[in-house]
Amino acid sequence: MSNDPRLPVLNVIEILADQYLKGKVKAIKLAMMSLLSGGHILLEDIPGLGKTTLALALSNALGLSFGRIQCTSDLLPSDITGLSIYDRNENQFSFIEGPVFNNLLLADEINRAMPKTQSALLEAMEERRVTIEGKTYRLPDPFMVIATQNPVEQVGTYPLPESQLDRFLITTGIGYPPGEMEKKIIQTGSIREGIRDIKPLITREELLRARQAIREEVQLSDKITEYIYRLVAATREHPMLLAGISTRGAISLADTARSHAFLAGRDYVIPEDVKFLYLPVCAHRLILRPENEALDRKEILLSLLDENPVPLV
Amino acid sequence: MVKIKRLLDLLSGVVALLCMAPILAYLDRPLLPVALLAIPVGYWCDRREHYPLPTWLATLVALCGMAFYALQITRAEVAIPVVHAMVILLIVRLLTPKAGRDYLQIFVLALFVLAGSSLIHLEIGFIVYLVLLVFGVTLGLVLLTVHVTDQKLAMSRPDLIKLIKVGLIIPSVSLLLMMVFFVVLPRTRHPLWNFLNPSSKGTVGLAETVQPGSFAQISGIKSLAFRAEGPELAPEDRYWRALVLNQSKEGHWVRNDPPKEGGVHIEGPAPVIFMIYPEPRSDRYLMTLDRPTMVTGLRHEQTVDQMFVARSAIDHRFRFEVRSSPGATLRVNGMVDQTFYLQTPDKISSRMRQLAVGIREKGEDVSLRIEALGDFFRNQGLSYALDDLPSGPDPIDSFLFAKKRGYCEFFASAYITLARLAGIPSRLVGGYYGGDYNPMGGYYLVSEDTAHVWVEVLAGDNSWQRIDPSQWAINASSTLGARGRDQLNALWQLIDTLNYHWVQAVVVFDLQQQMSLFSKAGDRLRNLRSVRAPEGWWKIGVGLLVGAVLVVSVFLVRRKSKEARLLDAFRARLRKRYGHGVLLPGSGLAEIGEQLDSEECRQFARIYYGAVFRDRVLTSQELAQLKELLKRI
Repeated sequence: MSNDPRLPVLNVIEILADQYLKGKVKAIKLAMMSLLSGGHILLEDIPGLGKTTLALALSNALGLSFGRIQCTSDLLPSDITGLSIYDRNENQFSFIEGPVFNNLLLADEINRAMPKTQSALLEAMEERRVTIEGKTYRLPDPFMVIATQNPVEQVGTYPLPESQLDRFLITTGIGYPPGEMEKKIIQTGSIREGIRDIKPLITREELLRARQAIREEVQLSDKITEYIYRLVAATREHPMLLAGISTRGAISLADTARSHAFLAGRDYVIPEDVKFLYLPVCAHRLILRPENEALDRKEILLSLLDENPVPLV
Repeated sequence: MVKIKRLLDLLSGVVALLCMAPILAYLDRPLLPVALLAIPVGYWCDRREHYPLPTWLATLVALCGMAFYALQITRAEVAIPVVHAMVILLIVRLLTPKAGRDYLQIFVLALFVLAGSSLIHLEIGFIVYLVLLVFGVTLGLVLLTVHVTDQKLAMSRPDLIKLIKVGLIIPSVSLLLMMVFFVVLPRTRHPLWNFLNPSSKGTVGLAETVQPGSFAQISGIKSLAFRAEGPELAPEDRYWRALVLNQSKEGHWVRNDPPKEGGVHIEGPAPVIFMIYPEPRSDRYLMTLDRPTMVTGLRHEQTVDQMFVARSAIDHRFRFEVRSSPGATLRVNGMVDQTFYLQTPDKISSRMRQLAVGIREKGEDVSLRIEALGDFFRNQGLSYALDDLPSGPDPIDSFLFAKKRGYCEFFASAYITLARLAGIPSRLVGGYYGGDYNPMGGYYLVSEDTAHVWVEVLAGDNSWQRIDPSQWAINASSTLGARGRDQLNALWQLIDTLNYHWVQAVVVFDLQQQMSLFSKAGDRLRNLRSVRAPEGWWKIGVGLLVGAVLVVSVFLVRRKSKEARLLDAFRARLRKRYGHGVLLPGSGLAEIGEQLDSEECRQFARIYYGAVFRDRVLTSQELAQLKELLKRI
């Protein structure tokens, strides 16, 4: 084990991006940052671009326990959290843990689940514990939910309410791979099979050590704090927005910026870290005014980035 | 964030320096270093919020200082002790804790000290100090209005700059307006604020008729008739001629147009030039120093008997120049219509007729008769008085033989009546006698109560001689010409000097004079350059001011941190290397490095960010590295 807590994390990213998930570096990085900052990630894109593949690859490479829920409209909260079943031999109820008791939980097509189920999952994401029949069970650490949803599909979906979207640290798309790469993928076919062979590349201890390093060693200077505040405050005063970014959103931006700085090998955050994460961390938290609902949230954030110059002195 | 209080403290120091700069040379030696030190020490105290001087002690010092200098005030020297006392107050204010009221006091004291400095010593630099002080004080007042709402208020730099800009608009606009008024106002015939006052009606004092005996008492009006700028005159020359009366009509002496004469010839000493500034009045007679030869500066007519009459009414302030030869003889070329000047009043007492006959018998020679008439007046024991005046049907007779008291109209009327009866051609001249000389301004101040009437007689050699019978009063030396002298104290003189300068510089503005002032100032500046060793203490004041400006400008430059200067250099370098389009506003250094794919830029960003976003300053080694990188970009 090397002394630099950064190396194993970088190693994961490098191997995944190079060998398995070609052209998805940004998504992998964001997912790693989300994990390092202790948040959850929402992958938002049309089907067939590798959302599930990414989640699977990540879970395999990280060597963490993995659970998966395929959300449907008849999914019940107990299908996620687990339930007590009467054990005839023991003559008592025993608790059967649901898929949420894993380090990594893939909630596929989360917007297909009915609101009651969504809310049970999101509560578990925020509280990191579940309470069933009066008993509270702690979830394992690290715990990360990778949720996916298809933004285009409308029929039979229950769009996540804004308050629950706020619980996702990062929302990102995957995007089409670059042309050359896509041709190669077309040629070689799906890599789902190969993913099953990915050996764990990082231990739980290494991951926790990296988290600790980010918390304790990466410095967030006053200037960056001021910059983050400016960016966040600007969304609150924006005429096209009904609600801007919450304080939780600002904290998330700072936390992910630290992770970004850590991955870049720095022990201090620079404005570019914040700029890089402003869209993935903040876009889904904005609530547009009804008359502006057709607007792209990301465009609004980009304009705010232009209006607020980077602090340099 | 900048604290408003910090700014006010700085501003009060600057204001104090500005007001003291022109008088540094005049401050007492022990006070000078204290005054100079008080400014930085006061600022230091404000920053530390620790004041060495307890309030009671400060009050005591201020009181003692004021008492000390109050004792030094004399009639001759008012300005210097008063200014010293104010400087002491200012020092005490600088060295004690300051709240809103105290800043106001500092500003007011500074204005007073600067105003006081103009009494001690006035130079063109005063304008500079004044303008700067006006800016400082106005800005201070604007900041004070903000400061009173919250003592601990701090403002962000852009907000503060906005506030200061607004604050500076006020003095800038008022100074600009002042310039406009200074140029526009004097060129208008009617001053801009004339609508505030109804047009002047003029004052009574110089009468167009002489009618002694119509009042039992007269009181002089101590209102200004005119000012006359010129050299100081001997008492016997202070006759200001305005009007000639030549005919008697129903007991009055009035003016008729005199018959045509040949030209006049004036012989005498070198002429003196007076600049006359008359107050607005209802008549059009111009006052001139007696034996006037020429009037310039306005359209006028000259009569054969040496009167000058303006073409238009004297209803506004103006000035004109008079060239006179006091004590010169006025000889008429050719014949004078003697009968015109020998007309006598209808009613003349028998006593007077007898007296005239007696004088006529002295001889054919007019000068002998004049001599005899003078002797009569001298021996009659007449006294000059303004009350208990002769009246009745024949006041002149009563004046000469019964009451023996009267004012100049009695003397002159009696004299001219007797002279004409005795066959001496004569005329009355109305005007003013005397006036108060103001050595500060170098001018005579002539008030309406010095209005006077005297006589001119035609002597044998066809020359008009001035005879003032009032001078033969037994109390002439104590009354005539001595009137009002006691009222001319220093303060009054000062106020009048200011008024005079206002009239002279603004109301009767003369571009030529201003230009000559400027050229004089230019000459002085040229002379200044040739001076080798510093002579005057005032140069220390100027030096201090220049020093202060330097310190402030260095402060302004240094205020930009070395990081900011480095960034400026970085941007300039990139613009030079890659053109103007590369620098998107608001982009970070690392972004720029990626965008330009320049290893130097990336390194620059790494080193620079490494210091700035670790919340520490750049080390000298890093600074050297960055500068080296800049060269390589």
